[in-house]
Amino acid sequence: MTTDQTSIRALIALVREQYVPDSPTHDHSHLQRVANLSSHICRTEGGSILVATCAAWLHDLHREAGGDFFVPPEAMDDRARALMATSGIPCRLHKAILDAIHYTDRYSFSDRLPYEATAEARAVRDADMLDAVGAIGIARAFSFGGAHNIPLWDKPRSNGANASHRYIQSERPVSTIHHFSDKLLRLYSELETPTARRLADRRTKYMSLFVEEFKHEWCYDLELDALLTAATMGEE
Amino acid sequence: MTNDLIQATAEHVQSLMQGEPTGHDWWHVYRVWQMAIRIGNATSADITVVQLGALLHDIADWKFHEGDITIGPRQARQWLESCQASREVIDHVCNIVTCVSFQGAGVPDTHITLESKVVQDADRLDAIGAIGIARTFAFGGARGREIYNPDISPRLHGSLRSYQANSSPTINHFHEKLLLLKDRMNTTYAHEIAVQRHQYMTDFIEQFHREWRGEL
Repeated sequence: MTTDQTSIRALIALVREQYVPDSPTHDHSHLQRVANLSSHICRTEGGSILVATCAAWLHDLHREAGGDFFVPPEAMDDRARALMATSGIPCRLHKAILDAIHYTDRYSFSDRLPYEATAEARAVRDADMLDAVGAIGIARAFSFGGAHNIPLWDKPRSNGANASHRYIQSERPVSTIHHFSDKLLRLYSELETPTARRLADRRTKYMSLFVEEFKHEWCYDLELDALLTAATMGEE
Repeated sequence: MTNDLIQATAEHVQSLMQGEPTGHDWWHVYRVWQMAIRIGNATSADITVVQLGALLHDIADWKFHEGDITIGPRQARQWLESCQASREVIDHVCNIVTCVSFQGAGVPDTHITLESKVVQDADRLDAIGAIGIARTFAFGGARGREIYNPDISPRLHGSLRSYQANSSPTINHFHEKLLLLKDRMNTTYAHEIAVQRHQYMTDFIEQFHREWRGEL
């Protein structure tokens, strides 16, 4: 085994031992899938698999249990550096790994915008977004909602929500179904690598059909509700 | 009187359950209520009793009261007595509240009346399909359960105690409960809807495993 392989193994063992996620959404299996997907993307698109794998295992330290609703990844730099040092990841790679971590949780429709980034950063961000769509994305979204007291669905509070509105990452979603249109269904157009886009295509369509089926089963007629509300207001 | 009682019961239950995040919230009761009316109308069930049973069926679920399965019927009785409902209606509705809960794969259902079968069907339909998927993961998330772990196999629980103590990954719950419900529907009307929702969940699990393996 090379020195690099030994230190990656040490890092993974350390994260598994010390990182306690806020919810099953950001658990060790998520980190594992993001690591696998980012390596796959690096293999076809270029980029260091070593850097991408380390970043994947460290990218959700800001999702640690007990923290605020949303802490930006940059806030965890010291923790990430300490974990890398303990596991023997060479110092010359630390900056590239931190850069890739910082590039996650950035969306052009949000208050944290993407920018020109390295191949590894693009790979990890795309891999993270891939794991947020499809059947796994559905499972993770509702698990997050359950862990953070977010309802499955609720009547919209205002007409404010629409396809072009800005997604504020520190704001709690009205409901998990709102989170699909606010964020998850917008991820496909954020992907930067053709490899990720190919994988995301079917997953995104699957997710979109899920939302339709969910609303159909809900048995609640929003249009009828709007008519009744209008009629009641007319009487007053 | 009847419509007033249903309306008051709906408002009472809504005020008790507002904002409960794991899918045992007012909206769950709302959907079961609406579905129970549809199923009830397709049978000869007493639609008033069906509606009251549906509205009160989750008033105090044992999953949230340390496994006490008597608290639901007791709270339903208190409420209906405070509304001066007839003894006959109260007994019938409380029987429904006692009967509807799923207690594990090997525990047989006990039913006395058609109305109780209708409410149980409506409740079970809300546990499957896309909404079943959503509710199951929300419940798992609230309990901090893993989404999936290939090293832990599903098991069918032969007793209520074993089912209550279960803390396996959420995907296992599909095999331990949700995929068993289709064949436990009481009415033809609900069975037909269940077949479609069952298929939807089967497709979901297939897609989930494909993605887990890193395929499409």
